[in-house]
Amino acid sequence: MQIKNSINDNLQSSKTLRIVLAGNPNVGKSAVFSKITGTYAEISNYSGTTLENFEVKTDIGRFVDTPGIFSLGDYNEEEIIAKQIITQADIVINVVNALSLDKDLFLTQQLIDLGLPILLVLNQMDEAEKREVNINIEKLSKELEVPVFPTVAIKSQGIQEVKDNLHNARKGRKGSYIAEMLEGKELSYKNLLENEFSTENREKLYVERRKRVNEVTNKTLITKEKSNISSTVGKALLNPVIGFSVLGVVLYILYQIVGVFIAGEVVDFLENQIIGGKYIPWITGVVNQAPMPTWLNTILVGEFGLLTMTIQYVFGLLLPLIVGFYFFMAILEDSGYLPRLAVLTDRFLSKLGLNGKAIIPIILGFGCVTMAVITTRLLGSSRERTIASTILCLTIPCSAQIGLILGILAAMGSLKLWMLYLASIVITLIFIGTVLNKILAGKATPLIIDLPPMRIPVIKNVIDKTLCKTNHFLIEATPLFFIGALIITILELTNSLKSIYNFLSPLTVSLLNLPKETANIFIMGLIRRDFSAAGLSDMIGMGGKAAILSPEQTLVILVVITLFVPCIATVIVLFKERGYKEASLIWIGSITIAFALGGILATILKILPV
Amino acid sequence: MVALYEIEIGQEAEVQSFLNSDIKCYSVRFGIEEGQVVKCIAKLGAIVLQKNNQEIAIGKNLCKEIYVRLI
Repeated sequence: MQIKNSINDNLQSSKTLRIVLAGNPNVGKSAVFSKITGTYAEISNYSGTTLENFEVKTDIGRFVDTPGIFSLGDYNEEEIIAKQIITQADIVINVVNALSLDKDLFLTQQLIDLGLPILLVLNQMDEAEKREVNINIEKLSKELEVPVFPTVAIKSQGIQEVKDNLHNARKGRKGSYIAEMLEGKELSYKNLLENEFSTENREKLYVERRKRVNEVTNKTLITKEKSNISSTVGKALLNPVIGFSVLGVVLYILYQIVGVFIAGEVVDFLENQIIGGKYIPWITGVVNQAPMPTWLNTILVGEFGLLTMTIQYVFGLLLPLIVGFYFFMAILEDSGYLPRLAVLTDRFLSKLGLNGKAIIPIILGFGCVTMAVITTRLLGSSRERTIASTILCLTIPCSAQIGLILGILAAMGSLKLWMLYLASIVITLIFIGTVLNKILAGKATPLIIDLPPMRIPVIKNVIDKTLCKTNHFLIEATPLFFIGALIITILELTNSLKSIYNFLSPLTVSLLNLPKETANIFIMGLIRRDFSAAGLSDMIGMGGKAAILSPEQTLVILVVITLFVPCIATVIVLFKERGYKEASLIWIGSITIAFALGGILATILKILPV
Repeated sequence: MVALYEIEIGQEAEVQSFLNSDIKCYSVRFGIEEGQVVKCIAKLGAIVLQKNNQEIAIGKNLCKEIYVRLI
């Protein structure tokens, strides 16, 4: 009652309430957070979507979304961060998944044992109903002594009730073991915190808490084991033959949609017919008529013009590829397929010093390496984050680049080229992972993950996610493309470009057996990886220009630009995440490995042409 | 008593003990505790266990540190 009054006072006074969302991974915290605050927080059907505390100020108070955790402890970085935030909260909105009540209530009971005012949100009630999981909500509320609200957050069901009842948050019923463990000490917040985080007490506390949670679930949960399509599909994907066959089909569909249809038909229409055929002649005419010095004209509408080439690359070439790729990824993310892929790949990844969870940043890396480097935080140790970040920066092409690579390989139409490209990248990935696993002290952390039910992706969520990521891409990439084009034009105007071509010729001509002009691609690649692939598409004749590269030379460049330095944004994130020393090593290492492997490949292809 | 890793698909087992306190606390949070009966629904290096409506995947190395009685 006292808490209720103090929260009411806060709601009425000017003091900003700190309302923290807490819960296990993949319970729908981000969805609840989005619906309550009216902002977009990324929602996926796998754990670890929220890796940074997302904060939004509203009329009611300051809402903070925290990473998903199984307990408030120190098992990984997320737990440490979440612990700091949650223990400072005025109100905790604890989101639990109705399908995994017995697991999720462990954190709930821990929050209650700490004496935090709680509002329990029982999410994914629709899935629970489908599976005939019945929860006696009234009884659950009575047992825990906290208010409980059923919701289906992605459909906004029950959200208004949560918002209307924030002032009803309560300190719940502590386990009887708490008083016993405090040995007569006062039940103050300080003593509760000390008791909770003392390593001596942990085993006893966890075991007793688990007993208490089992007692609560036994009283409130009635389940009938019922097999439905979702669980049948989920189980089938765990069969190695079916699982890997489905993976093959998924990759083939991706190739057909992004590589053949979008990179071929859509890009051809947009880049050549609309932008190349109509926009560029029009804008060139307009600029040519305006009185201006020649150098400015070259900057605006020259070979690398800001208003010609840059617009053509960003909107004609990359934008359709990005939209296609993100749409496809959003469907996979929303379906619950990725955690199953983690189980399938655990054995392979453990040989690289990672566990199956690392497949999530790796798969996301195919979307955007920058974002994927941040996502490595969901891995259990710094060692795993180092290995995963290196693999990401070195071997994983990002969506825009992969779209172009798929398009270039499809345009060349040779299966042999395809195989050689894939083999070069996979061999490098295995080699780097194995070496790092051997030289870095420690071992992979154990894999233990919850498999969410398979579900049909919610189309609105898929579209929202695609638009949000595309928007993010345009905001981040467009200025860098303009800067890149400007630098190259200035280099050309000052005749420096030829000097750079000559300076780099030992690498491009002698080592990689390429024409001098290809140095351009690497300079572009320093700015953005996809920028270099876009430049390459011209050299093989995709933009309607004459091809100046042979299939062997194209393959060498594709391998080198895949392994070559990550883009500026990734480098910045890498320095932030992994520190100056490690990030520099990864950066310099990726250039060295890219050229060394490119050299080996060029030599092999010289002796054995495709 | 054998390591959880010995379980086969379709088989049930009762959790008996853990290699150490750390592994015990780590697993107890997921409801993998002494006395708990679990069913193996997939084995691909990692083992997937069914417990009520939950499906939990446990990596090979951790499976070697949890001891069970096969039923």
